Amino acid sequence: MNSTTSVEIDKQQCNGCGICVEICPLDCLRMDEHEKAFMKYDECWYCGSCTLECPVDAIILRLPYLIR
Amino acid sequence: MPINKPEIQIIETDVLIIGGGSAGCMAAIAAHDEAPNLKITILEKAHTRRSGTLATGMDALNVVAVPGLSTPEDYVKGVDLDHTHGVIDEDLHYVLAEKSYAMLKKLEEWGVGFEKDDTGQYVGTPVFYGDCPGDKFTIPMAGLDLKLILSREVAKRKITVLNHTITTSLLSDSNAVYGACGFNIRTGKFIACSAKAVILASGGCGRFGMPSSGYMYGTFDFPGNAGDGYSMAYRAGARMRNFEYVQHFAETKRLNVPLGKEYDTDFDTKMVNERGEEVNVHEGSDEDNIQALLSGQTLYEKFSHLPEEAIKQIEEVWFASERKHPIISFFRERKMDIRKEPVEVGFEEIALCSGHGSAGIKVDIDTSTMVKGLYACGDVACVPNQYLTGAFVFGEIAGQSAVQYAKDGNTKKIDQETIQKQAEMIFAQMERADGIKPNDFERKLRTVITEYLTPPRSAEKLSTALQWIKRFRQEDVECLKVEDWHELSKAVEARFILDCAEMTARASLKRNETRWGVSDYRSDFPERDDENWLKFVDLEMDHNSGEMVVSTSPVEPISSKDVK
Repeated sequence: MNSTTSVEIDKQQCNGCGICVEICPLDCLRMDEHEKAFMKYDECWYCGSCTLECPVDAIILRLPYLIR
Repeated sequence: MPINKPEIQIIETDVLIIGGGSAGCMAAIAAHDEAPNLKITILEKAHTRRSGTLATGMDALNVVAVPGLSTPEDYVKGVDLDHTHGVIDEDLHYVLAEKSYAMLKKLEEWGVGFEKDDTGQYVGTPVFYGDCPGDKFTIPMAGLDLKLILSREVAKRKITVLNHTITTSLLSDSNAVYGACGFNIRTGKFIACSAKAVILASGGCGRFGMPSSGYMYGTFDFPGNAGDGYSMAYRAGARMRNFEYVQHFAETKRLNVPLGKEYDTDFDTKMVNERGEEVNVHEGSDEDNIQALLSGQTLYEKFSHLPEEAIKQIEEVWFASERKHPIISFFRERKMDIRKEPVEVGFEEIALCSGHGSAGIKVDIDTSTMVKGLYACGDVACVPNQYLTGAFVFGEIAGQSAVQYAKDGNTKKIDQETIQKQAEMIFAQMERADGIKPNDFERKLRTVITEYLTPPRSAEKLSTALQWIKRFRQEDVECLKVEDWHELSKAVEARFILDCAEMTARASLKRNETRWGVSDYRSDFPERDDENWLKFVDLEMDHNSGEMVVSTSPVEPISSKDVK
């Protein structure tokens, strides 16, 4: 994984429930046209809320590229 | 995104709470429990389930005077010795500590676990860095489920929560606050809420200086807090206090998360410079850190001399702590092993927050501000070093005080035309053809904050900061251009940060001494001067000129009045 994105969502795993989008404290996430979550705004504080709330473990959280 | 007239929703409530974090949720619960028939409304920028400074829960209640372990008097002395250095309103700290144990018990009743020893006594560890008598004020939690418990307690009660709603301004006339305006950052719906009493619980200003990583959201404190409440309270006429004091910690380089002395006070880790010489740097007492800051040494926290057992214990604490997610990623992604190499530490940024810092809205022990109908609690209110306990204790008091005020009050009818104008002014940033992106503006502003407001400061540097701030107001803030509602919230926040920058610049320029070391160091006045400066520096807005007025007021030792 060499992406600079900190919130990586496994599109196969994601069940489109939208919980991560609902609770992200910095409003970084949105649903795409296939009803899968993605990171729209690169403003993550790596708090871990999305990974804790995801019911299907579809989210991998890394540090943002500038901090890694 | 082209928009027409913004959709405006006008709502009425008895008590309005701005910010649904620890303080705001506690205020809402207390207000409801005090008067179940009143309408209580929370405006929360994120979601109350994962709101506030630590969305995934906290790992300790930092200030508790447990009977048999310590006393409220010990705490007042400790804060002054370790933190405020004579510039203190002692009543506030006394009330905080005096009510802390009952608060712990209340949280425990709701299901929050606290660590106890074999005899059933709470495990009390130090909160201060100096030697303060009776310092067993930190009570570790067993588990990280505080946020879920708190949001469950809110949901149990008839409390209206509007999530994803940023508050943009307070509604006030010459006498009092009567509500607030904001909008939903997903849908753009504009909200105008009239209220008999308003509680500000919106946190500090985590997005202030630029972190050394260059990542705008790589801050020590939660970056969703952008000084919203500081700016709004100031503009409504509140008195603002201690803005010359900035949080300025030695933290893990780039990561900007506490790893060292904050988490391993029981372990003999060492802070060393690039020559391997031991230096006295830690996250507490700011005056000790001055030499390290001024010398420009490279700093490292060293663990390699510790036995394996101790290292394992340290890792265990880190990887279960309230910031475990970034800490685990940091070590994994850098393939770092503290057995072999030290962790580099630096003064990563400055920020404003009353919780671990000092800056905030001046409040009385009932959380009232200088503006009628406006109460403040948590990191936004000036109770230095109040931590999470302060958010809860003063949150509870704010809920009760606001209810008392609201019971006798009337709702002021909101004037449609005023609201329409406010909404159009904010939404104009979406309609203009071109302009400055809020992120670009914020980056430029925060770079100026880093360069000219980070100690060591001088009158010259602070004056340069003020020139920049003036230029930002004249040339930039009216030219912001956004693409969507989310970005519109960033434009609003950038203005909050700008107001905070002016408050810090003007307050620092006033205090011609150095009292709190790296938090307010003036290279042109490097000594503490009790004769002239044993007092608060306060800021208020002159409503005729719109200018920021700086004044001083005396410190307040524990009064003889009943502070129960």
